[in-house]
Amino acid sequence: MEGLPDAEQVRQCEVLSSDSPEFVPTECILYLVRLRREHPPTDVTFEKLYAILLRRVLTQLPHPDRSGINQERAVDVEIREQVLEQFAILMAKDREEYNERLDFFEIRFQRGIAKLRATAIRNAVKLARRYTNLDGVQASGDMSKCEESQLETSDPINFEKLDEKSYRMRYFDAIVHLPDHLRVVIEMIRQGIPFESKKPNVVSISDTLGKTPKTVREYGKEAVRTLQALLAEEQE
Amino acid sequence: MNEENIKPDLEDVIDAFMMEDDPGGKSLERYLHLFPQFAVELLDFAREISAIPDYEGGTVSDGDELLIAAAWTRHVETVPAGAVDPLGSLNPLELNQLSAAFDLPRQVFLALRERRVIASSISDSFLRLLAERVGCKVHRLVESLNEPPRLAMGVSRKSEVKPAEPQKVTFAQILTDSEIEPGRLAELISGE
Repeated sequence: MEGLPDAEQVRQCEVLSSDSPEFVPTECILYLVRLRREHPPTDVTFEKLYAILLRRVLTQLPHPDRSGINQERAVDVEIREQVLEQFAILMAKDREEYNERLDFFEIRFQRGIAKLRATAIRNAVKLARRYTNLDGVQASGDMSKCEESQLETSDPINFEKLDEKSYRMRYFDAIVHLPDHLRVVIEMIRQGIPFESKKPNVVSISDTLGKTPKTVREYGKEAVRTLQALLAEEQE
Repeated sequence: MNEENIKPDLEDVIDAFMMEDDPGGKSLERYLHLFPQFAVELLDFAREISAIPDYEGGTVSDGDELLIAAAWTRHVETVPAGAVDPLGSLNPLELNQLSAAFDLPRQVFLALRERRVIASSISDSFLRLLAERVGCKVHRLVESLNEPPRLAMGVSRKSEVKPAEPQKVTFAQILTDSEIEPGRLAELISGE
């Protein structure tokens, strides 16, 4: 790509669909932009490649209008702006002086954006939580003894359905609204990590959080109840 | 990632996790075991990695193009460090201040500014102190010193004979020419 004329570089990089045989990996586009990191603003190719790179960032972010009903989701707008800003800051720091943190993006761009996205989601949801009341979500009542015992042996949230994109998106949208201590427990349950373990080389939820097994089980129950309510609310 | 004897920094841990071939399952458990204080961030990140395929086919709106244009404007307002000559930009007052701070004649810093000094002949400690004084990174100072010498400012150009290109000399030579006493000179060269 480096040896191509500027106009051809830009043309190839503009292809947005990864299904196209001409699609240029974003890691390559980032490399090309960094080659020009000290170029002046009059470098038109520099400007075009920079814009293409930022478009690639935006395609990795929740679209505010993804509900399709022309109503922007405030949280998604916040995430989009935060991630773009953080990435732009990384790029600006690199222009000022070589920034090693961008090297990771040159190797695994999508994961780099996923990292920024995870932080932005946490921040955006916390901001939104100041204006909404999670207590307003009606939890589905206490668990029966049978349901409690099933918490550790079966799939309380139907994690198997996460293979379906629509369910997965609903789950991901819902889980970010759980407080940190509940979210971390339900995610560890999803990863198949036990509440407790007597074996020193086996990771457990209680050891990770530094809480007693009884406490993390309570967290688990509360997380399941709240998440089920959020998923039910999403469905309405 | 070498987990021994490292005070973990969240950014470093997440960056290392990002590079794992399989950032889920056993890798995730290992990181949770090693860095339980970052459990929230690790689990959130692992979930977002698994969501990557869900963003295929993402689009960009007209509003996004405005954000991109604004980001570009801010981006090019950043001045690359390489564009600034850390010593070349010093005014006479600042040169005097350097001279006083290091207790060395002004001509030493003029020689440095004119890049007449072989950078590798300067001790690391002197370079570090000088970089700190002028507010730049050491490697940037060295890069600047390694550039070709430039003609002294204010040199008369009325001569009919083309001036010879200035040659670089060792730091020791510059100090000797500035009549620094031998004991002090030895200290400056050795860096003690």
